[in-house]
Amino acid sequence: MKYLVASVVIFAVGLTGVFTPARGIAQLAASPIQLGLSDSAANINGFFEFFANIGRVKGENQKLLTEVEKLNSELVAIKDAQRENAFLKEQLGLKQESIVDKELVLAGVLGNPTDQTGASVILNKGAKYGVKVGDNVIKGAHLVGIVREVTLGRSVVDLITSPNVSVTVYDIDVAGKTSGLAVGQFGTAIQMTRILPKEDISVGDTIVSLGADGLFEPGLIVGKVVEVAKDSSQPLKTAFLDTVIDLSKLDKVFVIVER
Amino acid sequence: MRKYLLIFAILLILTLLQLSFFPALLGVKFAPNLVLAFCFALLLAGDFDLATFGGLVGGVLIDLLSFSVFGVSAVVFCATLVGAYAVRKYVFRGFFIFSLLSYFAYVVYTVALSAPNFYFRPEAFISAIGSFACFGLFLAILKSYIKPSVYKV
Repeated sequence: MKYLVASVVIFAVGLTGVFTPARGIAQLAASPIQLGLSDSAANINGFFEFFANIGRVKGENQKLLTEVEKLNSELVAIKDAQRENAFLKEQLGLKQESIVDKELVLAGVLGNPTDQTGASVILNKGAKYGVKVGDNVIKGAHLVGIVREVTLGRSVVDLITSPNVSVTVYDIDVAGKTSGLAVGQFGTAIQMTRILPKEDISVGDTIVSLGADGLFEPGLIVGKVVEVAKDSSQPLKTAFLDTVIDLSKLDKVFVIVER
Repeated sequence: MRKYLLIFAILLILTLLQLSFFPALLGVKFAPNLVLAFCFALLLAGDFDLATFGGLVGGVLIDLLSFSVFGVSAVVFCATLVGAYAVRKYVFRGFFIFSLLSYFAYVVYTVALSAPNFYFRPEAFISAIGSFACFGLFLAILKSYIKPSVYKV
């Protein structure tokens, strides 16, 4: 019983935030071990997955080889377009994209075992590396989430599939830029709401961040449309998105921090 | 004193495995709660004092390495162990019924943790099966080392 009383005392004292520095130091010290354990588990997982999917891998390899050939030819065309684009930017005196002015901090993903919904992850980089609450987290051109909490050595990121995250988005495949609000659904999917009935949106369209909310950088990929709900009784349309990257298997991400 | 240090070392390893290794291996939703399983095994092995000490230390370690409200895991673990001790002593003395009841209590605890609106998650049942398997393993090991001198539950 004495330990129960002790735990209640610790809890009550903990509410004052007196343990926050100790927590920061403990997390900083445990980070390398936790990252090592996490990587080992991911390697073991990958090893078994490989053998489980060996038949599929063979077929996929063939498909990828064909795709590589196709992409190589496309790459030549893209390089031409890049040269043209650079020339045009120079001519027009355009500024660089907003993200270019910022710094990217590479962070390892530790998962978040205390969040059973899988809607948030812990990163092994925190305030020590300039990470602040509200910083965007990306992987390639894909939006991963937003930093919710920061300690000295770690940070908690709400993924875009978290119900706490709302992103103003638009459909890049539609000329009229169909816009809406993407909201996470407890770590499982993303719902795009507030789409005007007259606006076009189709399955397979790519949805990117608009940046109008002031929280997220514009032009980051949020997901692809997998379903469009057409309820005639509702004044606005709703679409369901699937993230292009697998958020449950993140290992390394980038945090966009201010310089 | 030596056995308390040993329990601390075991709990430190279990906490690191629970927070880093198993979530990456099985997925966050399926990862077993090793710390609670070990404390339950200590309780069933017959050492209530050591079990609640484990609940306190394990809870504090989990809170130190995660972002939950500091101390909340320690309180939940200790309260669960004290509650389980009382239930086992005064209500269900049979091992099977007690285990079944603990299993469903753990599922409810996991579901409550996973979503504030309490919607059903089948993963909670699978996670509970994993935790129970670990509990059985720990109990089998501990039974041969701990003499239930303090209180035979």
